[in-house]
Amino acid sequence: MEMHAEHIEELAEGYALGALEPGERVRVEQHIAACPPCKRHIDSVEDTTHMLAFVATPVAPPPRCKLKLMEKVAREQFLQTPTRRSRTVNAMSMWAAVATVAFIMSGAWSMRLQQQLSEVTGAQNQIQGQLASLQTERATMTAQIAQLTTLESVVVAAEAVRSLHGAGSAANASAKTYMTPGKNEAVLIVHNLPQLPPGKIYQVWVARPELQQPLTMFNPVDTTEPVPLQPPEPMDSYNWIMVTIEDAAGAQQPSKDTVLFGEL
Amino acid sequence: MAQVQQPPADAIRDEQLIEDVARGDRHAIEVLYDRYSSAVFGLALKTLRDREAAEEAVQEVFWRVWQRAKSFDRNRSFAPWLFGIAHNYCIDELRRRRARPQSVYEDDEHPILSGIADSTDVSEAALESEQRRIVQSALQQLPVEQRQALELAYFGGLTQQEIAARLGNPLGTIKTRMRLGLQKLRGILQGQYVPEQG
Repeated sequence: MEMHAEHIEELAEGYALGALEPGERVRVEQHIAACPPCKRHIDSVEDTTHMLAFVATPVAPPPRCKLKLMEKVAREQFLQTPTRRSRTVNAMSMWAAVATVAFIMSGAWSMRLQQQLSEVTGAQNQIQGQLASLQTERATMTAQIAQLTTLESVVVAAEAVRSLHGAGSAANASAKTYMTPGKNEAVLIVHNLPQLPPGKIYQVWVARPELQQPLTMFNPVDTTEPVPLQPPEPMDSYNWIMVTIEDAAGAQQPSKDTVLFGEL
Repeated sequence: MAQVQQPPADAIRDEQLIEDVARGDRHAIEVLYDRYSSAVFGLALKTLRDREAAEEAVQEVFWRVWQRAKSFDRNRSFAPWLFGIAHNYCIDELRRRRARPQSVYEDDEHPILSGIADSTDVSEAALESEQRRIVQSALQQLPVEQRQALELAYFGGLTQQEIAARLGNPLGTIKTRMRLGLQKLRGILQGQYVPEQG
């Protein structure tokens, strides 16, 4: 919608204070996105407005807030740092170098020692087998990196975070759900879930009063594990999220062995 | 806008720190957290009036600082940018909680008007910092109606229409009070700012 500059000026204080009606706010944002002078005016009014924050009496937050923040920052950096990929690439380079040298050497031997040709060919086949194995591993790692990248994008774009608390046999466990209202995808990051005995698996559920919806199953191999969630309906259409221990094939109704629970 | 108070000579400036954060420097976000978390937590407590929600807020606000550092406009000061993020989060959370039927936002023990724009709220608070002293002094110089309109919006999360309905004033009157209040506040603060160095 077209909006004149004088109209923006009229709405600037309400916008900076967050006191406009939703429709007015959207119109201001659309206007300033294309109008640098009005954007500067709004910025200036906002700078004054947010000095009001100093009116609130400062209170030191508990240390756990900083710990949780820095843990989250470190985890995000970990997800973004291609450590495993680098190691794989390095391993590939090393094996490629080994293979190249071995190939050259085998060629020299074959020229000088024809009788050893069959042995060299065998060595070549072995190295080619190793290379094929590494290529398969690289494909697996690439898929894992792609999945982590997808999970990271969901986490970074998340507009809401919901906490889950440990219960039962996993009282020390915790988790957070990163979600965006209206979207059918979310990421659950669990901490300190104990290893399960053979034949058992963790299963995620979302629920509301009339429905318990089974989602993905997982078995953590690390103390911190991101789990992708893709419920059939948007996450915010459910009231609760929980993790239970089920038989390895999964279940359609949750067992009573709940290990994580939280409100959505 | 200029800064109200200069950091100690040996302190790294906020704007340098946020540039470091944009480059992925975890130590820089830690320094900014140490410098501003009390102010953000205080703002969240005053706005949300719920300690647990305020703890979530302070974590989320600095998480957004970490994520959005690259979009920081170097022509602006850090503190208003940070408080803008904090205020937006708190107002959104306040409105979300108010929309949930099980969330009790306003009752006899938690009236929305309490602590806002009465004659003693600003003057009797312990003034712990130069920033607070200057801003509170400036706020005190506003007519009480203007101060009330600003605080109901900023800390109460009310829209102009809601404030008009609550106070029984025409919408235009509320808009005018906000505009004049902020213009006067800006004038007073600019007169007292220490010009920003470098």
